[in-house]
Amino acid sequence: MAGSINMFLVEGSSAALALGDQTMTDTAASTAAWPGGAIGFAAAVAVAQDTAPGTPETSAATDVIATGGYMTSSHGSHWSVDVPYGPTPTSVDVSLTFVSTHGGGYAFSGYDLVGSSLHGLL
Amino acid sequence: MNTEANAEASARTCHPGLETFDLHDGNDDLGPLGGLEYDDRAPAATMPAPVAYSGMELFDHDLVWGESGAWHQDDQSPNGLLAVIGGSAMAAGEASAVTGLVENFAEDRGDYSIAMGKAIFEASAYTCEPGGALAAAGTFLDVSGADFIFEHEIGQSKHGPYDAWARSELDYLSIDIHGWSPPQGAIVIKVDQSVGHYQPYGLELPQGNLAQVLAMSEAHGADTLSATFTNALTIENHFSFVNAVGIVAL
Repeated sequence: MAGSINMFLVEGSSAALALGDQTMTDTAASTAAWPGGAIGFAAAVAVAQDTAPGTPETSAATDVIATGGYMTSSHGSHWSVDVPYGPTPTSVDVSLTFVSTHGGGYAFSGYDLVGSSLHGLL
Repeated sequence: MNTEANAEASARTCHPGLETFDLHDGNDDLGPLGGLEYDDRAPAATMPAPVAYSGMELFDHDLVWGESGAWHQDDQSPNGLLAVIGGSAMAAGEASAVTGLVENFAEDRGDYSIAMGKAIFEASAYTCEPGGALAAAGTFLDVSGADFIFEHEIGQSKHGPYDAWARSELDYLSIDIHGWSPPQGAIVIKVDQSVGHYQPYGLELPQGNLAQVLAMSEAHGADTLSATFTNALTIENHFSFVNAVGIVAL
């Protein structure tokens, strides 16, 4: 007996770390799933600055997983800038990831899934 | 800094059965901070040929060996070393698989700066109907602000009535000597070993549709920039695509 399962799953996470005299971190991870598709987005930003000669450190990482569609795509970018010398050594790290999957889902069978997996910031 | 993007969709078209799908995409940066980044089977028949190509250079500040056999020079940035390396791969067929890997590294060593890296992209496709498989892979490199550039590129491709395969690999090493420049501009040594048709030993046919790419970029020095960009796309029973770019600047 043959059978099939149509289910969309998406999850994301992000993390940011900053070490210095002045630091700022911001993370966001959003997911949404509906009958026929799912998307996930995660972002992380870390900035650190020393007011005296030093070595500020930053790290930003994101991760998103999405499954279930006929077509899946992912886009990732990661930037890092470090200026460790000068009066205000600065380090910046930015990470972005976007994933989408859609097609192939059964609108009604996936209805219950929508309510449980559509959520905002993690 | 490293960026990883994976997209995988598995399905069987020739054989009805359970369909499964899987995709993963992620970015990880576990590197130390403050320093930088990271990041056949069948006889031949008429069909689309796979392509292995060299990508367009985004910036052309290199000294290159012209067709006439003479060196010619373009602009060269006086403000440090910039290296951009990347590539792309695509495969079309009922089963397709593409993979990409980019590594880029740069370091300021006081009297000189060095940048090196590689890009490897591979694509393979299989189809039940003759002529339906297509595979292409390509890589590119652009270096600005270097005194010496050594580049080695290998392109390979193969196609049959039911399958296609392509691979492109590029390795480079560049050196910028601080306070000195070659009188006639940067010296570039480029070796291109493209092969029209090549069947890799042990090549396995893809199953499902897979796209997987990983990019890592790392720069060490006083003022550095490193960045990676990745994309992955799969369409079940039809298509796989990846591209990636790694950038380092000192």
